[in-house]
Amino acid sequence: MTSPNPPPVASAVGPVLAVRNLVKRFGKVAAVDDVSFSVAGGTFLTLLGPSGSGKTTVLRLLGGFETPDAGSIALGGADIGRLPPYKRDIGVVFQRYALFPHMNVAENVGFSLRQRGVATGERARRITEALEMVGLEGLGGRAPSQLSGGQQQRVALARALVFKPRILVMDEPLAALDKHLRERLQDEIRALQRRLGITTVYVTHDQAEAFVMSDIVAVMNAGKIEQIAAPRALYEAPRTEFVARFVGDSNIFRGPVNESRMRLADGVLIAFAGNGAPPTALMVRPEKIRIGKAGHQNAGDNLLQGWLIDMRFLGDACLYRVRAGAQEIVVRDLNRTDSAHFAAGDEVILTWPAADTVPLS
Amino acid sequence: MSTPRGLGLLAPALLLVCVLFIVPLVRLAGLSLGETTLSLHAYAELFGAWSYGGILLRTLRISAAVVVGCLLLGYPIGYVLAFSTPRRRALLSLLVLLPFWTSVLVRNFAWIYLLRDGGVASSFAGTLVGSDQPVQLLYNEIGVMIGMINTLLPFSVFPVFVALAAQERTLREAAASLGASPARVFWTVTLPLSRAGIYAGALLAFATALGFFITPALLGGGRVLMAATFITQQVEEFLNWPLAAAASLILLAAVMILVALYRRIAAFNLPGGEHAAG
Ligand SMILES: Nc1ncnc2c1ncn2[C@@H]1O[C@H](COP(=O)(O)OP(=O)(O)O)[C@@H](O)[C@H]1O
Ligand SMILES: [Mg+2]
Repeated sequence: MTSPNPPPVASAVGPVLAVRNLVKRFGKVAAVDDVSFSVAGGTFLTLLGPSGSGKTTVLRLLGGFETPDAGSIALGGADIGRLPPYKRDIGVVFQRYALFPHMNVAENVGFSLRQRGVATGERARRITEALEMVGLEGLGGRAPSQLSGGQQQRVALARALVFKPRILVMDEPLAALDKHLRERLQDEIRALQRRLGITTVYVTHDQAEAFVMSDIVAVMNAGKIEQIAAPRALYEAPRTEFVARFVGDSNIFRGPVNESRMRLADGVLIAFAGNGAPPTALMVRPEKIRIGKAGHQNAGDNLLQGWLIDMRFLGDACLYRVRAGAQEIVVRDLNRTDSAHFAAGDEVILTWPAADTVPLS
Repeated sequence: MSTPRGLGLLAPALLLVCVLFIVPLVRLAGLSLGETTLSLHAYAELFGAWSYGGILLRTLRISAAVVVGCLLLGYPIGYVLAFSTPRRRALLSLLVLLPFWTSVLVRNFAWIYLLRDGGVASSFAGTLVGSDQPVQLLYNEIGVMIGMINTLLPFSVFPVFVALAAQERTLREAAASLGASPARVFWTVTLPLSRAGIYAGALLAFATALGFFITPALLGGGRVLMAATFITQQVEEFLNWPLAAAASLILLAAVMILVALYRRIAAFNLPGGEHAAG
């Protein structure tokens, strides 16, 4: 605990959690469809995806509340895929907290210790410690119903951590809280996770939340993992159109590809930096595009001429919608002192480097 | 609720309750105070009669035993119902309700046949208690209790079922993830959180049991006199209406005390946490 932010432990001993080819069907629906990922010790991994993409089901399989139809789950090298939940040693924070309404806060937090036969004195000490850890010292005697949503959330976290589980899994724990509290708890949970160095699998449908909190993000779609990468890599180099659209805003281009150029419907060529198989689409982020007055020369591998459909002022930036031939392109221009101002109907030029054009498959 | 408009909507129901319940009740109370002149004679007679004290105690004892029997049998059935697929739940509910829809006479004569001396049940009971003599199951309190439990089982099954079905699954899963074995999950989470259902089931079964008179008469063979039987006798045989009215009111008071108790207990045990969380 000397360094406040120890980096994720290098996986010299292999991943703490390894999920292989996991499948879970409900009737005809494959809620989890051949999912594989592994998490190194101390890493914070987030499953990010729209509602119904199978995130909760993955967590329920990890927790042992569902049995997989195929695949394996290894925790610390041992297969736990068929163990009942109470033998798994996994701390679970449920979406709606699932605090025991007939027990007070201290009893909730101490529940796991009681199951493990921890003596009364030791138990009281560890309950106090856990409540302090989440900033709820002195509230042990309260009933869960006497706490605010944020406080209940902290109790759930303390309860899931007090028995020092091998890993922590959390299912959209902040979804029910207002934006302000959510952001504060994001920071707190992340700081706590770093301090304890506990391997964590987190679930959210909120891209911003996934990015601020995670070391690694796995984007899920229809029961499959589309891409698993660090937040920056996910944003800068999404591999599929689904990831590009789900993570941040994007402009997507389609057309036949020749070498490292794509020909759009109106004949314009878009350059991209590709070296793999020909992409099915190209993507460029709105903030990578520079917008300038027509006639003004801007540097860039790609250059489109168009006119402004409309403009939205966001405070820190302007969002422009530009019609360029058959394309409608969104540009995000930071609000700098020297930023040019445009109005609807203006002729504009858009430019961006080929390196910022991401090939998608 | 307390607005005049709300009261207006309630009016028809209130009128119905008045006509069908309050008015007869007031008449009953009047009757218990004497048919011609106002007196507490009926109550004096009731408490003076050593035999009525015995009857009241027996009624309470049998009803309490029936409640225990109903819960011991009804809780597991309610549990299975709550955690069954909808199909199996429908089928099982039907089985639970079947005796309820059977004529009381048919049901009782079936029991007489099953419980008779030397019948399967009485020999089996003999083996259970380790004697080679068959155990007498009919024309005593045991027979009455068996018949009453059979009739009142649905009263305990369904409140338990409702309480368990309403319980959030994640609470049990949380307990399991924290290291509780299935048995520990049951004792520490499932059972305590279904208390409201247990209390409601017990109250319904008890209140109904107090009013039984056909089953005690048939399966008790005239030897097991319960309060409702006593009241019927007073009305039909002795034409002592004030005494019957007084006895009825005492039973009603007993039930109302229980309901009041239940409301206090239930108010304490309602899982308020979930409301606040939701
Ligand atoms: N117990 C269940 N029975 C039937 N279908 C289910 C069940 N649980 C989840 N599903 C289905 O599986 C899919 C994935 O659900 P879920 O894992 O809850 O997604 P997410 O948490 O990403 O919203 C959905 O189509 C959902 O309807
Ligand atoms: Mg979910």
